[in-house]
Amino acid sequence: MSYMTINGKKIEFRSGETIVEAAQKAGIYIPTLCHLPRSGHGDVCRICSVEVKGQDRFLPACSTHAEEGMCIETETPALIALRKHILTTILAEGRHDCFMRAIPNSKSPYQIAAMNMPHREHACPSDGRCELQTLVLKYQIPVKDIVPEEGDFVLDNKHPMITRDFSRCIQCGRCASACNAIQVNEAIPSQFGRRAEKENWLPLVNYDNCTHCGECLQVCPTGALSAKKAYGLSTKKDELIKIRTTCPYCGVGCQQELLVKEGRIIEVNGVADAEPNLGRLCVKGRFGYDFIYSKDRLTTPLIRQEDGSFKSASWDEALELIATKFTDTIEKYGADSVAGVSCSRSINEDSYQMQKLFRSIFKTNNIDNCART
Amino acid sequence: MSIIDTWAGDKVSIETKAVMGFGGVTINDSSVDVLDMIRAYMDKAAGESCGQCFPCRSGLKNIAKRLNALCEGNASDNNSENDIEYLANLAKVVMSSARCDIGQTSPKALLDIIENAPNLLAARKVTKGNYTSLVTAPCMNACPGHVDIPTYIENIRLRQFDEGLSCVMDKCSMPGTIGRVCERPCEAACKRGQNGTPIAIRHLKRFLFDKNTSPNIIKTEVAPLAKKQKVAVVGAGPAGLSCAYHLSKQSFPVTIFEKQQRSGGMAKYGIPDYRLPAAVLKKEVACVQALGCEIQYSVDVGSDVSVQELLEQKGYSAVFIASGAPDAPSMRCENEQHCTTGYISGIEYLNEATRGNKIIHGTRVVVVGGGNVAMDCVRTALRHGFTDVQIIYRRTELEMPADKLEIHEAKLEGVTFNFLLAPTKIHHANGCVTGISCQKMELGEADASGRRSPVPIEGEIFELECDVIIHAIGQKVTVGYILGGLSGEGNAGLDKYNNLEADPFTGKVSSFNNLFGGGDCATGPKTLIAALAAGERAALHIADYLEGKEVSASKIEILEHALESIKIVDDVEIAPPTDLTASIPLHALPVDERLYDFSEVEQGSIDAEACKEASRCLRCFRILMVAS
Ligand SMILES: Cc1cc2nc3c(=O)[nH]c(=O)nc-3n(C[C@H](O)[C@H](O)[C@H](O)COP(=O)(O)OP(=O)(O)OC[C@H]3O[C@@H](n4cnc5c(N)ncnc54)[C@H](O)[C@@H]3O)c2cc1C
Ligand code: SF4
Ligand code: SF4
Ligand code: SF4
Ligand code: FES
Repeated sequence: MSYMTINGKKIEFRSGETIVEAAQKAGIYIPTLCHLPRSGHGDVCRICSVEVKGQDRFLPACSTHAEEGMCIETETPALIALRKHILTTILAEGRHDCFMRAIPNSKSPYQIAAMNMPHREHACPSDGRCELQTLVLKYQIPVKDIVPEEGDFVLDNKHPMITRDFSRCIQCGRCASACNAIQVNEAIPSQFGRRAEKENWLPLVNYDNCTHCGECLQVCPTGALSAKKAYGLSTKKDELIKIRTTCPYCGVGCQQELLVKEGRIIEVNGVADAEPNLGRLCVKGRFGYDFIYSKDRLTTPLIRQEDGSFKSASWDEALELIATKFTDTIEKYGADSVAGVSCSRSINEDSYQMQKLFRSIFKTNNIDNCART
Repeated sequence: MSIIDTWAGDKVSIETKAVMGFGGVTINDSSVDVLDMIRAYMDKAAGESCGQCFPCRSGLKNIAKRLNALCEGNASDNNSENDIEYLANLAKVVMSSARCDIGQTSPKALLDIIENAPNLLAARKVTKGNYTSLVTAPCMNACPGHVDIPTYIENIRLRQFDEGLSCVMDKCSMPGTIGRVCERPCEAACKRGQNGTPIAIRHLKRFLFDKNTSPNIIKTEVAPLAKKQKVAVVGAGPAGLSCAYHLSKQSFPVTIFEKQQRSGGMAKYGIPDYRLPAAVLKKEVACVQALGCEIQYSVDVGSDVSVQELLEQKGYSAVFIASGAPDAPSMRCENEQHCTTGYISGIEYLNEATRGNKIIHGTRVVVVGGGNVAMDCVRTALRHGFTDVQIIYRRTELEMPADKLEIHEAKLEGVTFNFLLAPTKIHHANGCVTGISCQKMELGEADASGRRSPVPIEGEIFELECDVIIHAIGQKVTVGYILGGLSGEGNAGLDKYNNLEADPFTGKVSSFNNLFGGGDCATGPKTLIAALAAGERAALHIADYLEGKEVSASKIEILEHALESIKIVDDVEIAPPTDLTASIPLHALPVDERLYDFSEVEQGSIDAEACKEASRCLRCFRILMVAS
């Protein structure tokens, strides 16, 4: 184990850890914004800047390794001033209306600019969860007084599931990193590059490569990327419940976290530190949950009548009928005349019992599972 | 005339009225409008910002914006002092928190002015001056081709592999070859190296080349060659290919005349396949051809056709000579002339070896020399089945010019190194080599180049038995016959060593205006990247000549050169923090699998390894601007 000092406190760390990781374990908070630990992306926003003894400039805690004997300060006046400067510039460069909604009738230039953007019928979908908002509140930035900078804000609504409102984009590059380095779909060319070539590069999507996985949506720290399905469904004051579950779609078993409000899913995200997906989800797992609310969902068993129509029945009735028919068929034509296909969206235990039923009770090997296809 | 002062006090002179740069500002001429110049400088810096770290992206933009307003005569609240305070604050924020040297160093000039002469920044209408700016970095400056290293490394980090490759190829048309066997002066200059392992700059180039799957590198349709004036190139070595590549890119039709049957020069007929597989060169040559350049093989210019004929009868408007240094000087030791078997030059040995021929026989070989050619000879001999392979070198390992990695690999593979030995006499029986007498040496006084020269130790001579002696102690240029009649009586176009007398910047051969040259034939044996750089620069100046412009070194070329003589990174700069990211693992063929054939030893890397390595780069960009 190695040791270093943060804010006068001696802490332990393991070689290879970054300053942020070491601080986190020791319970010391260092703000981050652009950092995406899963892909190693960071070193962009400089919010995490810290003072390191012996260095003539601040170092980013998210991407600087902890070193034996390092002596670090994380909240000096100079650092707080820097963070305020950064947050103020970010706000001025964008149009963040969440702060303005709270102060109804002030007509500051920033409020006018922020409220007059398109796509503002509802509060920002990230209101209450936004990492930028959290920091602006923590460092008490006087948003009202900010002079909005001119800018050209694209609103990309082409994607069926995701709205991209770049007036809320802080150019942190997380989405590009998630798409290119985590999902490796390479659909979001990085917005970084010499400004002389293009002053305002945005993380725009090349839809030819996009697989609609929504990884970008999950990692965006602000409301720039938002799920269309959830637009207007929740506000900051709402209590959102988080439910950890396993994706029911295929045999991989990706770990999900459902954001739920009053029994309704607002968003589905991957669990960052859980195997096997380490935060990733595919388009089905992330967006394919509408069937839960479908009016056409069956709620009771149905039995087909002689004339082809269906009659609703109780479970006892239905199971009784199935049992008789199966017994008859097996008696008449032998066990191999029946076969079972277990749904891969059912849980492992159910699938296990299904094959047990076919192999041990019916005595046939005609059993399969649709995840095979 | 002015002096660039560096932080450490080194000086270099260039003709300028004022200099602004990463070390501060010097003004030598009162006609320079400092406000306008710092505006131009900060505009440039804002344009170079990569847009990643927030303080630099917005800070430099806002500094430039405010300076532009001052240059229009608009002070905010009619008080320039507010502006100066605003600028000073912003400059300090950017310098203290920016990610790379663009943000960390470029506001220094502004702060210098604010500290020493803030009155010069008072708002007023300015007259626009004439400025030249150079963006460079320690690695980029040390690279003879000035490849934009930090940019392509950043491209890799951001997984923009195609952009990265085309960035390399803007300056270096053989990324696969250079990515494998360049002598990498860049890595020696890398700032990371001050406090850890330098970035694997060379290997990352190779990575980009290996990622490219097109048979001729090019992925997009190439426009047909539009220009009329044709250029002839003598020699399809690196210098010739590079010149042809860059001329073709500017739409000039080029024909290369090559004496041999294949392109690549020493890269093809010198460097063995286990370091540089033939397929790599093939792809690079295909690229030059795909751009529209024609290559005629088995034409010995000077014998089969003369340069004069090319210019006067065959309709070529200019000729670029890149014939290399193909000959080996003799070792000047006793009995050299009597040995018909078992005594040969390294150049000849490797030349035959690269064609698949083994022209020496026996089990014991002694190679004389300490450079890369000698390393190639010993490692090739091992692959040819020699079991006792020895090197003798006059000085110690420290002075050996060969690449340290090559020495290491040769030792791994089983070569015996003998230092402080000089050959004096060859022993033979009926013309066949039987051994070599060596004089023991010790290191004496340092010579002009700073290396301590070896002096013999009286009486200490002994004999090494061997079947073959390979001498690898240098190369000679033979360019006179190519110029032929053009040269006239007085050896015009040749320098005192009988090398081609070509201008180091433009490549123009003295006393001719349509004759250019570069590479080993002008400099004596040097490196691949130096040859590629000479070809690239000459292509620009040949184009100037063909378009009727003046042929002379550009300001940027001179500035870059001036910086080569002072160090970009001064010793007084604080070294970067220790970098604990493990540097890229280099994969190599296991030693026991190497010696059966000429399979490539060093292997490529996967994306994740390369991206991680790229993320170690500090982007030590520096911006320099001069007023003229
Ligand atoms: C064994 C060996 C190993 C080396 N290893 C390295 C290394 O690891 N790294 C490195 O950076 N450098 C290395 N070098 C040096 C490097 O190869 C040369 O500096 C480089 O090839 C020079 O390029 P060039 O184009 O000037 O000349 P060359 O490569 O010599 O090419 C000249 C070409 O011109 C042709 N030619 C000559 N005369 C005529 C004529 N009259 N008519 C038509 N064609 C003609 C020749 O056939 C040849 O193809 C090595 C050199 C040798 C010999
Ligand atoms: S949805 Fe997935 S593939 Fe499409 S842009 Fe976002 S991360 Fe990339
Ligand atoms: S869209 Fe979101 S994740 Fe992407 S750069 Fe903007 S703020 Fe960052
Ligand atoms: S750290 Fe990067 S920019 Fe700096 S010298 Fe090394 S390779 Fe060049
Ligand atoms: S969180 Fe470290 S630079 Fe953004």
